[in-house]
Amino acid sequence: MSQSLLIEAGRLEARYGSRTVVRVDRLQLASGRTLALLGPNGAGKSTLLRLLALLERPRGGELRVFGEAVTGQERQGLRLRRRMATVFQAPLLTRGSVFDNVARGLRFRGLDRAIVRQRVEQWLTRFGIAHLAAQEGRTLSGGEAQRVSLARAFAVEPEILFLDEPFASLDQHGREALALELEEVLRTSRIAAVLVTHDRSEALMLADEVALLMGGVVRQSGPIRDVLARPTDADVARFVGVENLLSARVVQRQGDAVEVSMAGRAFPIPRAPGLEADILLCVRAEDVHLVAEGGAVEATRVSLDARVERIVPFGVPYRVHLDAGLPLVALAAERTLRRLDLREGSALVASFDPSRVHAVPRHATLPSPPVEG
Amino acid sequence: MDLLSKGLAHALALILQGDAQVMEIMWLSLRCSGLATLLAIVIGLPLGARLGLVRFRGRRLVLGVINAGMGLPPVAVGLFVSIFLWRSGPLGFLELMYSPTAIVIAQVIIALPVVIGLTAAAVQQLDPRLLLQLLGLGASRRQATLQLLTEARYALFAAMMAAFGAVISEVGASMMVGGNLLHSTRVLTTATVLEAGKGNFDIALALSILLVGLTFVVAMALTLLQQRERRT
Repeated sequence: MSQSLLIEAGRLEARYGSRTVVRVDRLQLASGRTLALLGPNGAGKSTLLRLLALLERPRGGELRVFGEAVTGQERQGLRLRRRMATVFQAPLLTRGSVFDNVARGLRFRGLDRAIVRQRVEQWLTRFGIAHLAAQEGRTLSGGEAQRVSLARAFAVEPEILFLDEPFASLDQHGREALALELEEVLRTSRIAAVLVTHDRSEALMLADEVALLMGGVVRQSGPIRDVLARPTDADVARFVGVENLLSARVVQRQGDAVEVSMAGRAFPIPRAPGLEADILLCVRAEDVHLVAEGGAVEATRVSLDARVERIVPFGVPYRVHLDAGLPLVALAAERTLRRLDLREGSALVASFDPSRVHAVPRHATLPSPPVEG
Repeated sequence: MDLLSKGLAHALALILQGDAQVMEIMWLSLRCSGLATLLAIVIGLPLGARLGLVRFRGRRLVLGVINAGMGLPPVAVGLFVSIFLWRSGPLGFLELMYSPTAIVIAQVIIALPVVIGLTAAAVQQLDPRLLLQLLGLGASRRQATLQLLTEARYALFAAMMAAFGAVISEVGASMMVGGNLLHSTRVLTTATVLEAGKGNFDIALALSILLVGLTFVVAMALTLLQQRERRT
């Protein structure tokens, strides 16, 4: 499948005063794809989005948008920006009716009134807010206002849609409902998108690819499932939700597997590139199984005698903090807790399947952070 | 009290009788101050918006100068403009001294910092992300600025009222560059000063009541327009 590149960035840099806040060596967006800029607060995601959306001038590097090198010239910027649209975390509606708000971008482009009406009605209907058309935009609820904001962006039929944490101002229910709708619209319209989020489930739902930002640099990028399943360093692993990073040593390398030793046990794990002797094993909490003390564990699993330190409700499952000679976290359903009669201090056996373990270097060579000062 | 009631009665009589001289003075006041306010808005709105939106080196200094300019003494402006317009001055060849145009020029200089300063403040009160949002929807810089001014229009109405209030009530500049010439440059404020100087306190009071009334009518018209906008 040939896909043209809509955005190509190289050594892109943003600076506030003398402080470099973003430095991205390479970033691409292909047509029809959604790229998530994922990272913790203050990672530089929104700044990077503003650079890519031509809302802020980079202080260095190269940026090609729609195959055209961005020069920083006002006229070129406007021409390119009119092929894009941006949705921010806050709906940022202007005075006037919902209709006027959704028509805003179309009117900026000087489109014919009939086209404006047709497009506005189409997108108001698509986001289920046609009945609000005549209402003053600033009287809407947060969820309704964000729908208006999305309809306003889609109405201009952008080739690239920029979404800066578009659900962050909504409650959990509103967030999930709107994310589902957006996913469907993006999938059916095939509009390329750049999504800024710190929520990996949101990224997983909406994006094809991810660039994981920390401290202003892209620490890992690629297809989203690969990045979430195979983080390249401990920081990324923690951010993508790996709760157990267990210190181990590589004993022997044999074909596609690596023999490691951990807490007095030796077992094979799948080989990962770039591993030195000292490694960290990434074991997801949901992959840690709990059985009663003395209970049988399959021979292929790594089993550890453990004691419950703390049980914390965590959504539907419980998060069980264990002392297994090393700190370990497991997720367990309520019925598992009841079946094993688990409480703080209970002895049990925790196990995990080593073939599902992913290893990262213990002392990673990280990309150098932006220069401060 | 007697003086006040006499002045009020005199003012009413002058208005109801449509005294030609008073009407001429009032009309000139309205024309000069209205035109000066309009010109200050045309020049000041874009400059104020730019000052409020664009970050550049020395911006704070410019803002400070503009804010100080809001309290510019009209008499000093009058003197400054006079120096330029005197026959021997750099713009003397235009022969504008002691003309209504000279009054308008001086009043534009008085009103301009008010319009620029209050516009910059009004624009700065808006959510700073709104500009990015408008640009992100494909607005040109000009379209985005116009939209932001529309968003801040209640505060801009207040700026217009303040500017008009500043120029309709000033006397120093009009006196210096206009010369208070009957049938030519006599406006309500200069006429009031003249009549008070001659001891005609009832006429002076009548003129000042007309001045207050005129200011009130214009301010009220702008207020009604502002508040009607707010309801819609």
